[in-house]
Amino acid sequence: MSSLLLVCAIILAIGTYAFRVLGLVVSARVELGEKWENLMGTAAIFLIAGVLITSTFLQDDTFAGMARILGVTVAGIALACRVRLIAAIVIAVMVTALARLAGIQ
Amino acid sequence: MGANERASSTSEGGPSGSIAAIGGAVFGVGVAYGAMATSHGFPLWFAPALGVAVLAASAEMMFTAMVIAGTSPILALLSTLLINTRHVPYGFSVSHDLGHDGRKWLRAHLVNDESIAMALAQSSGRARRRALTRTGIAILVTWPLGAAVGGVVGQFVSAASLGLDSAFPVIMLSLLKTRVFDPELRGPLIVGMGGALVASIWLPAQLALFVPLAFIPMIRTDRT
Repeated sequence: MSSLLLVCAIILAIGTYAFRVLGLVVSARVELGEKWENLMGTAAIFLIAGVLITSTFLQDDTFAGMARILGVTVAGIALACRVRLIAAIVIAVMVTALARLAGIQ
Repeated sequence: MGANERASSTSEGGPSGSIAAIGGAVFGVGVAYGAMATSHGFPLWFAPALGVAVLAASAEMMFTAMVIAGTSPILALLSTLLINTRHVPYGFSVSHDLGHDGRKWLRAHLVNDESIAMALAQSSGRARRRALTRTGIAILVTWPLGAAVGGVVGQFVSAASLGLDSAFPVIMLSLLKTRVFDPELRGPLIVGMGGALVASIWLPAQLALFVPLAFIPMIRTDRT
């Protein structure tokens, strides 16, 4: 593990704590500005969308295989049916593992 | 993990039952997180340590998954920090409830999706502080514990054979769930994801995941 990775991990921890404390100390009068806040929120959503796609379809920059896609799809349907997150995760993991057991990669 | 996801759980079974349910869920996700880390060569201590230090669940998983995908740690850091900016409004929402002594700064670290949802479901400031502290401590214990258990498992069995690689995308999906039905965002989000999928044929994952950002200008904000 590289020292750059370690430094980035430490900055992530400090930065996240700083966000929490920033929220605690800023008064209602000193707001970040609605427009800026909205843009940050939207950018975060779109970044999550990108991570969803790459983490579903790719493994080591090549196609991750149908087993994972199958698991995530079934879990997505479960989430849409208001199943709890942890139950949806268990469903995804089981479907993916069973698919691989059945020979689907 | 979505705050609204947890908010719904507070209505069932009372606070202590909900806190136990959150702890169990966080433990389960922690196992997937820890197994993902060690089965890709991270040392056993890394996932639990990052979990305690950051304590925002999906963020640690995203950082680790991005590094595994080959993203430079600096880009992974910036992306994860962007996701974590939501802790500013979280902190703001309980700024009057965390007390006025030095422990306030310790309690601040416990602010995350789940603890805020539990706190905001209470009516008095005192009850909010108690709910936030209890939920936060439950997560502070179960998240790294799950990561450690998963980490040990990941050293012996490949996370892929257990299907654990599908856990992380589902967490991302749950974060998106509420927003994909937003009529303003839906179109650009879907096009953006399609763009990322097409781009991933040629681009490495570390670049393809940024493709949806290019579709933000598609959002029509002129609501009249």
